[in-house]
Amino acid sequence: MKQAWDLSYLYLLGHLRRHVYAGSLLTALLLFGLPTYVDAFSLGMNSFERVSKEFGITLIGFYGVVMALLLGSTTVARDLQTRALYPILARPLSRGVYLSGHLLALALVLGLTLLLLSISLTLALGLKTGRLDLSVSWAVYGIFLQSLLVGAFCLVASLRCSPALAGTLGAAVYLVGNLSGAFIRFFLVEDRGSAISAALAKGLKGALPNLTLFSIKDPMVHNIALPPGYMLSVSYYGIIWLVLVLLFGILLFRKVDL
Amino acid sequence: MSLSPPAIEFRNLRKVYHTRGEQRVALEGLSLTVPAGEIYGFAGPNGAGKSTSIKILVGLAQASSGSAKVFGHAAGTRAARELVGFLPEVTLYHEFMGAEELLAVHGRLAGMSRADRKERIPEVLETVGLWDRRRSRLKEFSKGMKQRFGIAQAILSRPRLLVLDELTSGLDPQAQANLLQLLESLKAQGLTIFFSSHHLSEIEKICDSVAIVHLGQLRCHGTLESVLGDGQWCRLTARLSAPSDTSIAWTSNPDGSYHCRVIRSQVSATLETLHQSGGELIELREERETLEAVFHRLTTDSQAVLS
Repeated sequence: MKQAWDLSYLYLLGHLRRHVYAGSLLTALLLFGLPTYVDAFSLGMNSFERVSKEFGITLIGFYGVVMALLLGSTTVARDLQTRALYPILARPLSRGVYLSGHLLALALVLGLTLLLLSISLTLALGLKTGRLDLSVSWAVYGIFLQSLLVGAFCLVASLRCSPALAGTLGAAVYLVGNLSGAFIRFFLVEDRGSAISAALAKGLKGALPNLTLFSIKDPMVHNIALPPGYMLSVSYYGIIWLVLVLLFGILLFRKVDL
Repeated sequence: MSLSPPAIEFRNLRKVYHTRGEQRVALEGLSLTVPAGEIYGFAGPNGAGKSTSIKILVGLAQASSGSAKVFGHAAGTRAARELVGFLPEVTLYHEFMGAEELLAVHGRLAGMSRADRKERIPEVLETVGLWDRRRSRLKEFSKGMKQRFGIAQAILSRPRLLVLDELTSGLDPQAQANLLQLLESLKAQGLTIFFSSHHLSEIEKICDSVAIVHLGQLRCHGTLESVLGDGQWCRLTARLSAPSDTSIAWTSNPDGSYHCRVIRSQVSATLETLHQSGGELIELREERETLEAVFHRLTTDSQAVLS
C-alpha cells in the first residue's frame, strides 16, 4: 500500500505540473460570480439561491465527469506510450499496486478540484445570504464518488483500448448509470413501445453501477432531508464498486505482455 | 568450481505472440547462461527476439514455455526483481519530474529506507555525472543525459544484474564513449551487465562474452575470443609463380603476391605444399574475424546455427 501512495504522489505531481488545475481555477471563478449574476436576473423573486445552487452543482457535476473521463482514459495510456511504466514495473511491485497508484492519484486530483469548486460556490452563496450553507458540499461529495467511479472504468478500459475508446466507454457507463427508471418506463416502453431497448437498458443498468444514487442535487437545492445514513450507504456502495472495478483491472492487466 | 548460480539462465525459452488470430513466434527454444561478473553483449537484427528476452527477464512479459532465472530465482518474481536494475530502450520517463525527485520515487518503490536514499541518490548522480543537474526536470535533458539518468535509476537500489536494452541507440560518439566507460567502471564494482545493442563495435570493445540471436534462436554464444575465432584462422601471404594447388583458395594481391586463409591445424600442410611448389612464404599471421563479419555470416544465412 505504501508503494501505491508513492506512485500516487508521482502521478498527482504529473497532473499538477501539466496544469490540469488551470481549468479548475477558471471554473471556480465562474462559480464565485454565479450567485451575483443570477441575482441580477431574479427580478425580485428572491430565488437566486436555489437557482445558483442548481446551476452551480450542475456545472460542477459536468466538470467532474469530464475531468474523470479525460484523466482516467489518458493517464495509464501515456505511461504505456512513453514506456515510463517499464522501469517502474521492473521494480519489486505488483501491477495491482501500479493501478492502485493511478486510481489514488485520480481520486486526489478529483477530490482537490471538486473541493475547490465546492468552496467557491459555498463562499459565494454565503457572502450573498449571510449564512454558511454546507448542502453544496454534500452534493459535490456525491459528484466526487460518481466521477471517480467513471474515471476508474476509463482507467481500466485504457489498459486494453485506445484512450479515445476508453473515454467513450466511460461516457457510456456515465450515461447508462444515470438512466432513471422513469426514463426507461416512459420513453422506451410506453412512448416508443420498444421492449427490446427497455430490456437492454435494464440489463445494462443492472450490470453497471447505479449512478443516480450519487445524484443528490435536488434534495440539496430544495432543502429536502435525506434518509438517515444515506450518505454512508452511498459511500459504501461507491467504494465496493471501486474495489470491484480495480480487481477487474488487476485481472485484466496481470498477464498482459508489455 | 563456483557454486553460485549464473546471473542469467534461459532454458528452452519460447515466446509466441497472438495478435488478431495470428501467431508470431518471437523466441524459439532460446537457451543461454550468463556468468556473474561479466559484461555480456546480446546482439541480433531487429525482430530477432532481444527485447522479448529482456522483457521476460525483468518480468514485463511472460514466456510461453521454458524458464528464465536471475541468480537462481525465477524471472519476474519479487526476489528476482530485487536483484535487477533495468534500463529500457527509448524511455521518456516522467519528464515533469526533476532528476533527484524521480530517483527518490524510484528509491521508495524499490523499498529503500530514507537514510539509504539520502546516501545513495547523490552517489549515483555523481557516478553518472548528473549531480549538477539534479534539480533540472527530465524534459530539459539531452538524449545522452536521459540515458545516464536511466542508468542512475537502474543502479540506484544496488542491483547485482544490470539489464540494458539498446543503451547507446541514437547517441553521438562522445556520449556513446562516455556511457561505455561508465559500464566498465560499473563492472569493476562487481555488477553483471547484460547489454543488448545494434552497435557491434561497442560490444566488441567492452564485452567479455557475446550471444547473437536471429529469428528467435541463438546463433552463437561464448567469450568474445571463442566467437571471433581468435587463433583459429591464419592468413598466409606468399610469392608464387602461379597457384598450382587447387585445394587452396589463393587470392592475388596488387603487389603480385598471393594470400590465403587457412584453419590453424592445416597451416603445416599448406606450408609443405607451398615449399613443394617452389613458393616463398612472406608472412604468416593469426587472423581474427570482426564481430560484424560474424554477425553478418550468422544472420544472413538463416539456416546456420552454431553453438
